[in-house]
Amino acid sequence: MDELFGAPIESIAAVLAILFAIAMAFLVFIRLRDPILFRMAFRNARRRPGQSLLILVGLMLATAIISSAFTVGDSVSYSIKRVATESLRSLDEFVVVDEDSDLWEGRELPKGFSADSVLSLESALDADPDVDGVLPTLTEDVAVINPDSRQFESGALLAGLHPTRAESFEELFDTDGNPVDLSGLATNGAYITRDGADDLEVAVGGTLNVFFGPGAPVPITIDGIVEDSYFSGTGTDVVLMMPLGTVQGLLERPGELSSLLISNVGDATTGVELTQTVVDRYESHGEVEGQGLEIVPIKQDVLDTANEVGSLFVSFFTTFGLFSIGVGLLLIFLIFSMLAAERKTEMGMSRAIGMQRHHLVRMFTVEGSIYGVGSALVGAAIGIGLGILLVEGVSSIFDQTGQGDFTLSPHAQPISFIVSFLVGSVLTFVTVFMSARRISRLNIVQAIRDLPEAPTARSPILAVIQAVAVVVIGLLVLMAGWNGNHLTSFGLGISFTVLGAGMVARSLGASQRLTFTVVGALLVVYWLIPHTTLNALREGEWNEDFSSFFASGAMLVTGAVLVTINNSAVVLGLMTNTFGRIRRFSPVVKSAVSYPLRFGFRTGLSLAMFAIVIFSVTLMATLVDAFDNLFENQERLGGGYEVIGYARSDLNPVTDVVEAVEGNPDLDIIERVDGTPSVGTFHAIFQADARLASDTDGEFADTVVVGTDDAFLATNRFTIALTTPEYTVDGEADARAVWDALRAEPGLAVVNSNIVPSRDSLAFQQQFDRFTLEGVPDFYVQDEVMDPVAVTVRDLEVGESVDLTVIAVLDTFASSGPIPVGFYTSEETLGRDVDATQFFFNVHDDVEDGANIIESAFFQHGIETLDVIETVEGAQESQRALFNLLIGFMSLGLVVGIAALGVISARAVVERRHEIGVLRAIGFSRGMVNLSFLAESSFIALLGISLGLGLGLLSSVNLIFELREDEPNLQFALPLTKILLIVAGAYLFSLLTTFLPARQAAAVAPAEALRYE
Amino acid sequence: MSTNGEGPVVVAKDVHKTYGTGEVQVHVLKGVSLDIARGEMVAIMGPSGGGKTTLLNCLSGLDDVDSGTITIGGSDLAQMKDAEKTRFRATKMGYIFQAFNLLPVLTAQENVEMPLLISGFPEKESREKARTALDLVGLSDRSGHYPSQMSGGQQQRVTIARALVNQPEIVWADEPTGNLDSENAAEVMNLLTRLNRELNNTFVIITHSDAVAEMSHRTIRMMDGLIVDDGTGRAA
Repeated sequence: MDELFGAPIESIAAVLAILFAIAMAFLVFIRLRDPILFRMAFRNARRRPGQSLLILVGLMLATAIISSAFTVGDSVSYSIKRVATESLRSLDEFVVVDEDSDLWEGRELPKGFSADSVLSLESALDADPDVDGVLPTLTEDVAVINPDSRQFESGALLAGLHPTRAESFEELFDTDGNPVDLSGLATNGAYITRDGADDLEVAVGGTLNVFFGPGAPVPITIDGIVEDSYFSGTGTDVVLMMPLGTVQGLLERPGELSSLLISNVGDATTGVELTQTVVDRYESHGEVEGQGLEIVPIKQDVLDTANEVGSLFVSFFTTFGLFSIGVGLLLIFLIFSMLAAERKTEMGMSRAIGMQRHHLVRMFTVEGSIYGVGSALVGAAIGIGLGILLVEGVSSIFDQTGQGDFTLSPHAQPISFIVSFLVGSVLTFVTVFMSARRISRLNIVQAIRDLPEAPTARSPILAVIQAVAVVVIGLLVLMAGWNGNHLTSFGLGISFTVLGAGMVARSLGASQRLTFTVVGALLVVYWLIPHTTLNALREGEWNEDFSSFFASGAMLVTGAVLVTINNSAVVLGLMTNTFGRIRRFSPVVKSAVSYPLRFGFRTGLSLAMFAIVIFSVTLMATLVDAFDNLFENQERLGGGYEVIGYARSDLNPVTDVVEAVEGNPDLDIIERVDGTPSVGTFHAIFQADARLASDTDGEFADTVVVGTDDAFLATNRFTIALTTPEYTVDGEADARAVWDALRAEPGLAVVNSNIVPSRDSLAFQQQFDRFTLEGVPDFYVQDEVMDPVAVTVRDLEVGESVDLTVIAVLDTFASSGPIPVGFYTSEETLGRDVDATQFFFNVHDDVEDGANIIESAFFQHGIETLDVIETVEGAQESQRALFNLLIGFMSLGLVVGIAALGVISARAVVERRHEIGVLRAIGFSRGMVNLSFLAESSFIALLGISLGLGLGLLSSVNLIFELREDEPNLQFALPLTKILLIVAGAYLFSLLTTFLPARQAAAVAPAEALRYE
Repeated sequence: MSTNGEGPVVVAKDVHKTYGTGEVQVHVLKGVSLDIARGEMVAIMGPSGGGKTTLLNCLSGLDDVDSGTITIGGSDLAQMKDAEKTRFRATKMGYIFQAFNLLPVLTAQENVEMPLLISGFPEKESREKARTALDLVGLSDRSGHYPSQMSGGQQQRVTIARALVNQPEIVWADEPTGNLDSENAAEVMNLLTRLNRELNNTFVIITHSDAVAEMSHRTIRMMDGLIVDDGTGRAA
């Protein structure tokens, strides 16, 4: 993995290293300037080992989350690279026909090129000191069957290799480890890969029938089974290797090559280092550029993709871990506030005898940095372990989706560890420094006497200025959001303005309780307003992205906590009236609830920690279940078809599928309409590009155009996301009318929603260099209606252009299904006969059996089938597994909340020693003290959980209501079991963390506690 | 009264101090005025809640006054910024608290060194001065001990050493014997009077103990935020 959030990882590491060095330089400065402070910080850190351990655990979580995200990214990236290196072996680049070459404009795109046309290129490569192998090849997808076992493969790869050059390119070995010799093969003899031999159940000496066209198959004798080939990554296990000349003869393409494979000097791993040199040297070679060919750096491309996918995973997990990371930082703040509270008298005394405020800041910064660096180190290491667990989880998802060939191996790069450590250290350092500054503001007299801190006597003018500044910032953000049509910025602007207004009111003497209750309530109300209602504020819809999820969570929780903490009397009354009715528990409940509400700051932080994590987990779990239900509607994904067939080879196309079905009694299972087999057919042109008709100077970009037959247009039940007004009924798109229009009028088209701009953008979405309808004014997939869009599509296979008028966008759900991403139009629009590429069937009997029967019947045409129900279930299963993994990952933040409760309880025992003595003196039993402490933690944990749960559920109802505008089938379903499990787990662990401090509190001897104060 | 005969080192005029905001306010000092001469040992007595500690906090610059003026050695405390006041405390004043308030993570020696190091004295010099101060209070053999390893009397003596190490003009003591038994209390007071005599520092001591008051030059009695008696203690 080389990049993260678009920035090179080395640059990120360098910036972090500089920040870390600055922090360390600050520590060195303190060490030299005030060695006594340094000593005190170190000794304070060692003072209470148990508490220090708890602090370390709390602090390391943010680093662990970052490190685990890196480990997942590294593992994915490493595994792809490993597979690439293993499958491509010595192959570093290849020369093929360049479909984008101007040479082919207006001409049919050739499948290959003449071997004679690249002779000087071959000679140059042979003489090149950076190249150690050149291999001319001709490959073709073919259907193959073992006549004895009846096992077949519709899309096997037949590879013709130059016999002598293959040997020097890279030797192949049979299963016994002996080198194989292509030139020694008998006529029609072939080598087969080991996996291929297993699949087709063929042994050495066995025969396979290969279909090269509509006629009878050609028998091929297996002369050897080889361990591997240069073509392992081509998507099939079955690779047949024969001498080049033989394959040219069998395919009737004498003297033709499909590619020239190149191996750089070095092995499978190091050869790629010379790729850029080799590509630069030959991309402009006369026989490359001049003949419409290109040199593809295949291994480098795969490695680049591996890095991109790795970065994508890191971004994905880091994004979803943001709440936990934020909560981790809140914990650091809380921990240092508690430490300061504990050392208040010492700090007051230090200030009394001459320590300046900055001395306290320095001392706490040093102590915090000791914890910070230590916890970042441990956190980064634990994160790797956590990442490995996540990798195991992701692996099982790959297994479930049938991508069993791809094994995900845990891997962590040293630089990822370093970056995680640096991020953790720097974040902790900054948070510690900020909290140290807050801590150092103390009243010396009150600190020495350990009295509650009086409100800071800040200049009222300064307070007003600060409050007005917050209002101004809020208004600026609000305006930026309005002008940029960005809902999150608009909402944050409103929130800051409201908060600032509250601060202004407060600084002018308004009641704190009233002011912040109103502010908190306004925040909650605003962020719970459905976005559909906010859309009424302006024409059209707001642009939204993932940031609204985080912003709404943070603001809702802030609002709810403000209301709760500023209305402690009401909460106290509610609690004592509810639970205090049992006489025995009354004093316990009163004491358990009073203390947290008296310490508003720390209780507020703890509530926020629990609430924000439970909020995010609830929202995610509810959305996952809602989307999960969507998969139940299989008709929507498969357009009403149960089996989809794909043509893997074009050597023997199906010319008349209806005739073929009718002529094969096995295919009686296929449903008929009016006695005729109902089969929809796609005729896709994959070598195509497009641009908007209005953009006459624009570049063409790759796309796919699908000509659909009349049967498909007449029978498919794919739904439509949006269309032009004439195809709507009561404001809703009428899919049948759209398909009928395509049927009646050639030139009309429907597009896949994946190439239509969306108002919702995900930060981690991958960008592809394909044609999209960006640039069409006011055209978004979320809209209700659209204007027709004129597009020019070039059929690169014949060099003709076709004008299309897009009248509708395919349903977003169906668009992600097993169909090409591009344009769908009638077969007539294409203006020529295009081979059938995809077939849609319905069957009478079991769908899985039906899919197998159809594949078997059409295998010689190279057709593979897919069971729509099974595919949908597989996709549903993997989505569910991925999101459950994500929910688990997000729940990690709860550990922080739990650690916070532990820290608070431990502190409370020290802080309230005298009061415990008093309670014990007036009749509290040990059990009651114990219970009181446990009840106090329960109160915070349950209140935080309830706030998070309530806000999460309200937000999800809201969000699902909004999403139903686009997805009417979305249903709100409460994922009760999942939520109960998380809540119960969080609460149980909270109790466990406070169990020890509660026992310590109960063990306080009353006489001893009362003696000193 | 045994003073060096120069003008007063501490001058307070009509000092008022109120605590609390909102509905509940306590007017703690209601117009206190007094002078303390250089080298004088003054005891402030009175019932709890009478304003003794508040007066000491205000006089020593730990707390701000609401109205009135306090000058120390001619410098008006109200005119000083926080950092300036802190430096002033570090160089010109020493403090002794009832609860000792030593830093638990530092040894006796390090606790005494602290004010010097904060004032910017080199480490070696600070160490020597701290050793001398500990010697002065008779604790040179305990210099490496942590507070938790010492008795209450010993801890209070370390506090006295810390208060005196930077040769302050004034030492403020808030019930220095309050947490000690009678034997240790007498020992500490003997030490304070000896140091007052030998070093000629000004001592302002808050106390409930008549014995302590008797050992000082002058006893001020306070009640309800006002000085009700400004008499003399022991003979000079």
